[in-house]
Amino acid sequence: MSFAEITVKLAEGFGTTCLLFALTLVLSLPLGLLVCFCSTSRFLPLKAVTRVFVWIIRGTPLMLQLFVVFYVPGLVFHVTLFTSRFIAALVAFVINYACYFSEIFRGGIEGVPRGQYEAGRVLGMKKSDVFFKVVFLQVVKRILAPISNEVTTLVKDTSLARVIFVVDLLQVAENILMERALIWPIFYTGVFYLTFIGLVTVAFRAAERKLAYFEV
Amino acid sequence: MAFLEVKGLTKSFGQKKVLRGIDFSLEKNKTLAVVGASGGGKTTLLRCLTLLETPDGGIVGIDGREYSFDGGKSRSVIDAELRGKVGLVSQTFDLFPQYTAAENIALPLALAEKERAKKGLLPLYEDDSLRVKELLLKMGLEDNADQYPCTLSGGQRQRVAIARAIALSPSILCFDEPTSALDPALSDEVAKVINALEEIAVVVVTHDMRFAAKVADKTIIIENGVAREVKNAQALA
Repeated sequence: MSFAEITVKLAEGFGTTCLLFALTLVLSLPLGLLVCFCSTSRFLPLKAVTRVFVWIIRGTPLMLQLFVVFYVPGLVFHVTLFTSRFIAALVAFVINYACYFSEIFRGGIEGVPRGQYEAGRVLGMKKSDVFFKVVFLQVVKRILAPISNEVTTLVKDTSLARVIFVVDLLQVAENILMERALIWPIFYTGVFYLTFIGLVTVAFRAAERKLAYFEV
Repeated sequence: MAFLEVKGLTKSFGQKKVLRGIDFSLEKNKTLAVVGASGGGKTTLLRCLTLLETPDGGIVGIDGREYSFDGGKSRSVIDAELRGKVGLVSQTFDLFPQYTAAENIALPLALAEKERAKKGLLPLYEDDSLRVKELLLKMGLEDNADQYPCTLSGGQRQRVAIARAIALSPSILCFDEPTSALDPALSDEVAKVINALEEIAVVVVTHDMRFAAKVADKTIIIENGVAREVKNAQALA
């Protein structure tokens, strides 16, 4: 197999990695905000249930969660919940990252001075206006660095999807190793990951620069 | 009935009674200074007037309308009626950092106009942007309209906060320790701004007796949760 052929093969697997990354990010960010609202709710049962759930997800390995999501419905309830391994992986990733993001959001929201909420309220704003028009951008600025960390980790974590046989970048390289006894494609995947993380880093730096016009 | 009339206002935090029945009145275009030792309840009084805390009991009368906290009307009804009538300039000004000086003033105004339109009420002003310009000019901030709070001086930030608070034409404007975050040299400037406010009753909470003597037409001292009028405020300075 030539270098070009292997590059094309790896690129196919990289497509799956990118798709898993993008869908996880798009779905887990809003879900994380929702989980954050639940975990800070004044309705104590909801708050308690959410916090325990977040504790479980953050306290167990993502690899274990992938096994649970894919295998447990069949083993315990005898139902096939996911016919697609990719969807099963996506569900596990979204749940896991939503819980991590929710804690980052919580820190960001609690970090905004109380005076900002109170100023909005005294000025007659509705709670939703205070949150979305006053507080939200300040929260975004505060959480950009920790979110950037999580997103960088997500790029690498996508390789865990292999444990339920999702054919991602690393799995393609491993298949080549098994079929052709070629080990260098495994190391070559590093170039793909580094390029991807480089682009993510550049995007977050740009976002940080964009929000540098104000101080929080 | 006076323009601002407070009768028997009480507030406790757990077992601690902070306000034990505050009474005072204030006419329009007059300034009341609230003085007293730290922890005496001055700020709690201000927070009750601005509804940041719900009083446990008592009556607040503003411009001929009474709002009773002794039961009856629900908190949300009082909230909807009273909010917007009392403005606040806090100790830390609490400007919204991501908005320019002009946007800080325009945002609550735009949201209030939107709410009024929803309720089928006439707009507060024909042209909101003109109102913002007027306020910036009045506060001497016409050259700072496009500056973000982090680039403004303490005095300028406070004037933006005042402009923002009066943009909605409140009946009462409250100041919480207006000189505490400023250079002492700026306190005369703040006093001038407060004295120039029109068509409004001003309540200033301060521990600075000299400042109180400069701005106040009437002074009350809060001790152990009870208000007592000070007849000769100059003597306290």
